[in-house]
Amino acid sequence: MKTGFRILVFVITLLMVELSTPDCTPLFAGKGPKNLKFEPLVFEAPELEIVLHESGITIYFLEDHELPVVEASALISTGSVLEPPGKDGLASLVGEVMRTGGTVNNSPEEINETLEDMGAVVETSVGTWYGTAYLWSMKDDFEHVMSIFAEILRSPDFRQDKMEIHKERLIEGIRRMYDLPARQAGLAFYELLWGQEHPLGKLTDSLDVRSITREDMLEFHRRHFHPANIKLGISGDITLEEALAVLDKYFGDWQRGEMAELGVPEAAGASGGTYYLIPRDIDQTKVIMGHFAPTITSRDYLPLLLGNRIFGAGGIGTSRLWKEVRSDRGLAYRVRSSFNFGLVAPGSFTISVGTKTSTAIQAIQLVKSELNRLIEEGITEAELRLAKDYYINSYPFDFSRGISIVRRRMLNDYRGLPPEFIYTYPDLISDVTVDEINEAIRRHVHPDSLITVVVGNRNALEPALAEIGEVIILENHAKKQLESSQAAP
Amino acid sequence: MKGDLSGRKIFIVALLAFLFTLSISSTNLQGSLDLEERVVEYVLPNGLTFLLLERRYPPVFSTNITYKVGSVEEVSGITGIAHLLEHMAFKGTKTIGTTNYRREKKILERIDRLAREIDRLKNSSSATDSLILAQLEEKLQKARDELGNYVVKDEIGVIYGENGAVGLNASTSEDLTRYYVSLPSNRLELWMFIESERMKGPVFREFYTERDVVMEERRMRTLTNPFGKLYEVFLATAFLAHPYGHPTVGWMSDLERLTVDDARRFFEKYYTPSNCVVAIVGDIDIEKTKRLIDRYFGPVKARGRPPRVMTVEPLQDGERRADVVFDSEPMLLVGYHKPALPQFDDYVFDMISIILTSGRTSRFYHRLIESGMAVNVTSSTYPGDRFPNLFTIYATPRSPYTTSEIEDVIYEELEKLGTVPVDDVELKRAVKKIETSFIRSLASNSGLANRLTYFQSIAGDYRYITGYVDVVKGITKSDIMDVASRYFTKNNRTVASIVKEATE
Repeated sequence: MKTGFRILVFVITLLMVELSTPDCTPLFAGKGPKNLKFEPLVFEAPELEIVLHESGITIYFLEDHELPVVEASALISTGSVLEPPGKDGLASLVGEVMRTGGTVNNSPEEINETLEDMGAVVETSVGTWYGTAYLWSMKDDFEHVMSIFAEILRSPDFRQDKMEIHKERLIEGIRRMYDLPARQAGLAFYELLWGQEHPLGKLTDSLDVRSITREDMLEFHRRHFHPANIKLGISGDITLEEALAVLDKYFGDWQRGEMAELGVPEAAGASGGTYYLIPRDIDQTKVIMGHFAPTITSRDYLPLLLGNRIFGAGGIGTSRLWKEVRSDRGLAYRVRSSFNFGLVAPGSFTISVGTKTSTAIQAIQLVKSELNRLIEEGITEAELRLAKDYYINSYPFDFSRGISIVRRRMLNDYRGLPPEFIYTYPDLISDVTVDEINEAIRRHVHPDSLITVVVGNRNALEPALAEIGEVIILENHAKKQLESSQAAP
Repeated sequence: MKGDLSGRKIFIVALLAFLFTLSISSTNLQGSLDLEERVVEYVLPNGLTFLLLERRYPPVFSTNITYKVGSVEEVSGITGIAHLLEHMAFKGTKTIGTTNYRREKKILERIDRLAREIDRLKNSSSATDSLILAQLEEKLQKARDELGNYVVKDEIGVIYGENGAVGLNASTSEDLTRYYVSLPSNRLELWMFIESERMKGPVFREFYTERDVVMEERRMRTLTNPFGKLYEVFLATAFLAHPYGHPTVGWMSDLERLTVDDARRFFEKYYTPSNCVVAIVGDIDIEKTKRLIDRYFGPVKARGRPPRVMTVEPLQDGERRADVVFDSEPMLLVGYHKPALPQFDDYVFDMISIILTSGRTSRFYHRLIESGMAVNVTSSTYPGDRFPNLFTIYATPRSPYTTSEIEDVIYEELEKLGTVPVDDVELKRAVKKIETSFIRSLASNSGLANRLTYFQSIAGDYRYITGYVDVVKGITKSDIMDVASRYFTKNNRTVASIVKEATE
């Protein structure tokens, strides 16, 4: 299979025609040039090679000879959602100590020194819904670095002393969870959304972390780190033949295993419509409000993506929240809305804003009225045009680096999007209509279901919030976690 | 050179067969690492310097416009003006962001007068003043509503957005004010138009609301962020005289009183073409680009040389310490005064930084992280590179270890650097890291545009980048001992820590 091209002739003549017809909207409203002509942009998006390796690993490959470098990025079907109960933090620890705890054949010191002597990088981590492993190497050192990468993935040793260090680091992280008031608001929100006992809502329990054993880590690794669970992307100054030869050598005899299934139980969170106030003596109130959102495989994914950009996620000057809250009224520096589309489980829709205490209520009410206006009036053709043009015209940027193309494709596959999505989404976006967006918004955005967390000055905010809704004070919000993390090992 | 795709786009069909076997890029490998050969310098009669670099795939380009002006040019009373001016640069010009500047101008003048009156009275506690204030606010709101008839909201952001701009942003530091954006390559002329217009002069519309936005930014970055607060106090303690000591976001009381006049004067003084470097990196045709530059940026008027910062920080002659109370876990910042690039000692400090904190073989990783004393240790140069600055170590202790215990380990290691030669292995490894880091930096248009403009501004020559590796290769063990023993002294040290409320 040769690496070929998918020719996507990406012609912006559409825009050109719009610019030069007499009754079109000029480029600039004032005295700017009305007819800047843009030559058609011919863009060839490269095609990846996708190969099922004999071991069971799916390889995503793209040559990139600009620099004498090879990069690799692995995506592993694992995550903290697969932690056994009572073992909070196990997934994250495995991700850390895989890299730092040595392997069956090499000590941690040997690995660190060898890699750094080559200026090479190997890193691993495990998050909520997937694990990653990364490699960067000069071309000439690739085989050596890949041998280390393979060993780390296949046979980490989780040496006891390294494990202990990372446990304590994790616990220090818990202790520092609320150092930033903005972060405290976010954590509290997810606790309320999913429920305090739910894997996606609960805060990591330090006592759980302390109870983790080396056997737990070996078992977690054994369960999830095998070829059937791994996508491996490679891009750089190398041919597919060369890459496969190296992979055959270091992964060829790895047992395939079964594909993991990720999932979480039903949510058991709070119902919406309430203000949860976390008293904190700060001058800028942090607000985050939101509710559940669909998964990325929903038919409403692109309509909501566009709608969200219009409402609160566009770049400078291109969203309603930016205009109303920041630009027109100077109420906030940071105000934005996000649709985090879920993988397998529901995601979340959130709006966050930070403003001084005296304008907190004004900002909350403004955001809410904008949300209501969005639902009642819907979006306009002009707004949609602007949002579409952004995605369509910025398309070539998705292909800036071989490794980013490969990563995006792997992640799309992992999330269940159509295989050709990185090539087809500009057309799909182009096809979305105003009505589709407005309907999707009505289906998925519900102001009455909003859970709102407010972190700020209690004296000012408690009475003010009580005037506009039900208020629950989360007293000593930070206390429980701090107490458990204070306990000495 | 093999695979050169310039000027052949319209004949792409004919070339398909030839291109079919190629991958994402097939530029000659040797050529791609030699930056100096590839960068084209183009200086206009008005002093504006362009650095152009072709990188053909994908069909996009990245830009960086860097003015050699930052908060270091500010004085007490107008701190924060450089940064606010950067915000204002997005509000448009006489041609962009308005439907009728002539009419708009009168309203803007009225708003300015009202806002300054309000500023004068707003902190007063008298009842009469409150009444007048309410009336003024009402008039101001009316004027703003009227202005709305002529303003095209955030037109720069909108035009860029709909044309596929990515990474549209700007930043202000102590040293520099920088504007960046990346666009599809057929939008080059659009970029030329917008940026040359901006360079000719922004219009300060919506100034006073934007001032409010910047105050919120200060609240976000500093007042509700422990590291932000710590850093601010740290700098103010380390620098007694030099303007590196005041925060770029500005002191709140200064922000509350900044005026359009302040911004205009600052713009006139410092935003001159000769004080500016521009990089364009990506899918560009050098000759075509130069012609566009002549057309759009040629007419920008040269102005006088900006005044220079003359204040010199006197030698520090005693340890300085500061505590910052914040409701968070402890953090530590330790800094030592040092000369700035391109002095040789600065290169040595870069090596020292790698040896101390880079990666898992570094000294502080062993002594502080693997020992369980800290969860994070980093080192770097703050707050800028134009003037003598600070070699800074930042550490986050792991409970129950204190910042004081961490300090002890840090000083022990720094002392050792000054008396015991480093290992050959450490030196070699550090050089290797620098080499691979340089190669990594070549993989991004925007990264290249940033680095080229940065060093052209700060060092006066972007070739600082290409000469860098050779200098560090020449650093010896005794150079390191010499620099360490000279600068890592107690008298030269400033220490700041975050402490919780209820202790001691």
